[in-house]
Amino acid sequence: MLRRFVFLATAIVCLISAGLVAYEMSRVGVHQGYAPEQPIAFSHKLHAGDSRIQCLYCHFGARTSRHAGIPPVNVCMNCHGMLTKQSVDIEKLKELVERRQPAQWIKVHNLPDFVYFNHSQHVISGVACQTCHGPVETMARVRQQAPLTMGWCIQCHRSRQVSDPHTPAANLDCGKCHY
Amino acid sequence: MPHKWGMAVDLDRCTGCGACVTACHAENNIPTVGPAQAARGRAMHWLRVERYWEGDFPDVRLTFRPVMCQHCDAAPCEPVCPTYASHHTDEGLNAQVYNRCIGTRYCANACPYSVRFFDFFNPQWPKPLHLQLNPDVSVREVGVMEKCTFCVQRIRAVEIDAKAEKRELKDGDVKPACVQGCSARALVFGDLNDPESEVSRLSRSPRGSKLLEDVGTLPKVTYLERQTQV
Amino acid sequence: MDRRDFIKLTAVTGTSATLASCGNSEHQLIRFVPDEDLVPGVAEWKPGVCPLCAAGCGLSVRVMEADVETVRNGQAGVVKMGVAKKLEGQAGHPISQGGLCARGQAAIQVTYHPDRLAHPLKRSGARGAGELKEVTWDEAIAELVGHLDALAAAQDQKSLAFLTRPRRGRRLALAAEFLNRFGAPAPVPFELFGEEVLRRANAISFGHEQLPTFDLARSRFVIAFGADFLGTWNSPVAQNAAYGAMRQGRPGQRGAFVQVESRMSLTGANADQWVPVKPGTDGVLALGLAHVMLSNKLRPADAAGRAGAAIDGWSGGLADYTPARVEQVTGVSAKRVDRLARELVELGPAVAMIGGAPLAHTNGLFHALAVNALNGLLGAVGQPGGVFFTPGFQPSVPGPQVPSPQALQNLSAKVLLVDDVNPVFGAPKAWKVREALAKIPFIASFSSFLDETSSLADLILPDHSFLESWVDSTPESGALEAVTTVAGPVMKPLYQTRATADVLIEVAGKLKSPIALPWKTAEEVAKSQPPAPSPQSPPAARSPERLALRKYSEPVFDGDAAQYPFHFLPYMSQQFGDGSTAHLPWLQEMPDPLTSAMWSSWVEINPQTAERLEIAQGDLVDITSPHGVVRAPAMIFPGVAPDVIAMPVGQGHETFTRYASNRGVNPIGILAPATDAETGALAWAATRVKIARAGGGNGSLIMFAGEMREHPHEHETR
Repeated sequence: MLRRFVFLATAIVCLISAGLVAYEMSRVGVHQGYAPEQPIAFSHKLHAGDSRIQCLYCHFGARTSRHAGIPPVNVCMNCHGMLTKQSVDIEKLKELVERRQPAQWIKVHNLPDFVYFNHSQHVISGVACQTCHGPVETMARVRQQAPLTMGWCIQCHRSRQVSDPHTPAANLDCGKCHY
Repeated sequence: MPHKWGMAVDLDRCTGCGACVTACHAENNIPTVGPAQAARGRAMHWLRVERYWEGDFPDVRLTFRPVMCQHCDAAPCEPVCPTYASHHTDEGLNAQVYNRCIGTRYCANACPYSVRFFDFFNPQWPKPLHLQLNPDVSVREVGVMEKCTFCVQRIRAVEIDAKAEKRELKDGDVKPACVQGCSARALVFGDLNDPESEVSRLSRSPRGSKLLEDVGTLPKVTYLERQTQV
Repeated sequence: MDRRDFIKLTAVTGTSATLASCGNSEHQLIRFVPDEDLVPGVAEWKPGVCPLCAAGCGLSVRVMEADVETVRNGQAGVVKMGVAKKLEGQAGHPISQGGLCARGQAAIQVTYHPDRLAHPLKRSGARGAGELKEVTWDEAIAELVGHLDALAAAQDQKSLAFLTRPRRGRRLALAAEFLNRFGAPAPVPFELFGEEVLRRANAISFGHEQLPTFDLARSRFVIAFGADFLGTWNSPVAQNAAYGAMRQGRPGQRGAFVQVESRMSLTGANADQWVPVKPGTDGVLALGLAHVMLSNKLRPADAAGRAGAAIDGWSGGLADYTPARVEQVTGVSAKRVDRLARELVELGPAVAMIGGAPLAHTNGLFHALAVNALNGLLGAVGQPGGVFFTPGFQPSVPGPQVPSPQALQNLSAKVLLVDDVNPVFGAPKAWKVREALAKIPFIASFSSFLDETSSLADLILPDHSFLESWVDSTPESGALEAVTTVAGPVMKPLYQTRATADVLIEVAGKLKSPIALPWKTAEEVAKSQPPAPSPQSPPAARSPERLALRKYSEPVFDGDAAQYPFHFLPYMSQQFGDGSTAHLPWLQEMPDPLTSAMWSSWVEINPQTAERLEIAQGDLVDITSPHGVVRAPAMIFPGVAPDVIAMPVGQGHETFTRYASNRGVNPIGILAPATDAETGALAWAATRVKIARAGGGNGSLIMFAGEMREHPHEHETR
């Protein structure tokens, strides 16, 4: 009886841990919720939310390039060169500009090499930035809202299959993103 | 109607110079494997120039034939793939989805043209050779199969631009690296669904034939036979 | 896998011991502010010029942003900058017309080569021992200036020599000006496969001391003597484009093409008729064709003009060159000579070309003059579908462009500057270039790589790559119109290198008695125009007495025919040219178009010869000339005459980066120092050899394995 219990218990523990390992392994490369501390505590809430600066003002690359791009510090200075308001982080920024050093931002949203993603395609098709990046205008520190897994991409691409003449249909073909 | 990409190779123009072979390496991040691995038959050339010798000296004749993936409509590589990594796109390309590929190599065995190559290693690019890598093409890691894509990244780039500018593609807008680099204009690429395109016109040529036509793979590459002096 | 994944994985698997060792070094490097505005992910196309041969193809360079490890003000770090990603022929450029050859495609690896020299070097050990230490540019320039000042102080300016590749655009003009004002002799150009014989012949026949351009697109019949014009000779990209148009560019009219040579070249493989001839007899066949035309009154004798007048017996109908005699000398049947001559006339416009091996015999000039006369007789000179001379071409430096061997052997200089040329590899051992260099007290090189010549230098002042500096090119052939291409740098320099033009200008200014040069920067040099071309007054026109009558004299071969029964034919390889691109891994791994060999040297042997000598594919073979022996694996090659042994040039470097060092053998080593009797150019096809099997294959012959398991022909016959 005891032997049977021990066997069963071991089997259950093994199964559960195997399941856990399998689940965790499946989440490798998925960084939903990732919100690293940045070298300068830049607040999207303050800039995009309160001040209502357009996303594409700073991330101008998203219009024409596959990369949205992190703006160089001189884009910050377009405004901060004229604004008198001071804070510790603005000081840090100005110091970088003076020392001619770039800010070493930490990348939050990352896609693997084997998938091709193009920001400009999605911007032109009228996909709002928030669809994938979440309510960035409310985030004091940027956090990865979506899982950025293929299933998540496909979910959206499927729902956009209804052909509306004004928004180009999203594609489901493997060869459109993987090459 | 979706595009149906195809190629025509005029063997009467082709001089066998090999520019397409290097152009393909430069465009597609194809690794050089080095002499030791090359000697074991592991060199990778998505596009190769085959040669056919006929006759004995002094009546010798040599014909070149550039061979790349034929992007068959009935591709033998596709049904054998257990993970659907070898996959037919809606524009008729035989795509290889690297992140699906688990390296069974069934597809390479099934391919009658021997145009699929297996990554036996992680590629090496001693610095700063890595600066040349094309950011629009995946760098394949060990254990996956790779092959000619008809430079799908160039097709996509042109399609994305055209869509953004709300215009239709013109014949000749898309040029894979081999076609672009060919100085004798032996290679022509385009849409086979457009009967007016140059590639369609050439594919209808009486000189045209497909490679191993009777295998029934329905290739999308047409070879225009080399002519003889009349 | 990035760091985040790694942490997750280690957490899952419970092994975190190795975590501490996982530091991405790139994150620890300092980032510099980029000094150019590029949108990441968006390509920009910038113009360039391919530097690898004299053809001067215009490039379009794809530039994109990338992270580059660099050194700024002595500090290592990372900077985002635009880097070249791909080279393409520039659409609309008169030479490249959008295309590019295999070497041009690979030229980008010159810039990114892992063994490129990154800063000035000074020799610290024995000469050639490879012990070099890094010095600053100030130290390096001061050192060179010191040596030049010492020459000036001793009133010995004549002992400065400048060794270079011929016709390198405006940069050579700068070097010539520098030397002239310093009081030193003109630059000494060196090129293994030089074209001096053809230039001289064209001066005599047509009054143009220049390489020809062919209007193939409008030709209906082309006969080429030895010229590998689709592979490596003259302006291959432009010639490939014209060839394609000749074959299939005109509906219903396909140009015919005959190639005459003794080993099937890439070009020969494309011919409708491939005509093997005995080495050193090409001109006899050309005059045999002329004889048939003259004796049958197919063309008027005076059509050839001066080109015909240079040939002995022209006015008498070339009685010495009857088809029967041609058959006797060249091995081409009399019937075939007669038929070919008639085809040339009937299927006009026809054109003849000559280049490569036929000119590299002791009677080389005769062959070129004979083909020129044939062209004259065909009415091909300056006519649609014929032969042209690019107008207004002026060489950068007047005078002969390829040195007599003596010029190299007698380099009695005290200071030698070497610019982008490698004569220790590229000259026959019998010229004793290495020994000549050993006697020179001070050698400075501008090379970007350690090769056989630059490794003998006392000081190396590495040049920028062609993508990092101003480049210009004024090719002497390839287009029917005059072409000059000038392009600015497409990217910032990767290393602490400097443009050679800038270095020369700086040195000129720092001398004790400074030299005033008409340019202040490399940019000004590249943008400056050559002096306006003077009305063509070729040497032959000036001195009519030089128009001596030429007739066929038997070629003299080095080596006794009984002891050395084979003709030895080294040829320019499709991948490596004269060997100067052997360091590029793409070209090493590119299968040779005719044999599919990669990373190898090989010796081409006719199947019958191989069978007679019991040599199998891949067997090691000793090739012995009176001047040395090389050992290479055998390649059984159906397209080579039974009495000819052919070998590609390019491999066999002792020192030339990790990809080319100690790979294969160098056939130039065993060449005889024979020269063309009139021009003094190296007769590199005039050596005889014997061969012997030295053993079984050792795996050094590597061939591309990829091919179809079934051949199309097999299917068609079913």
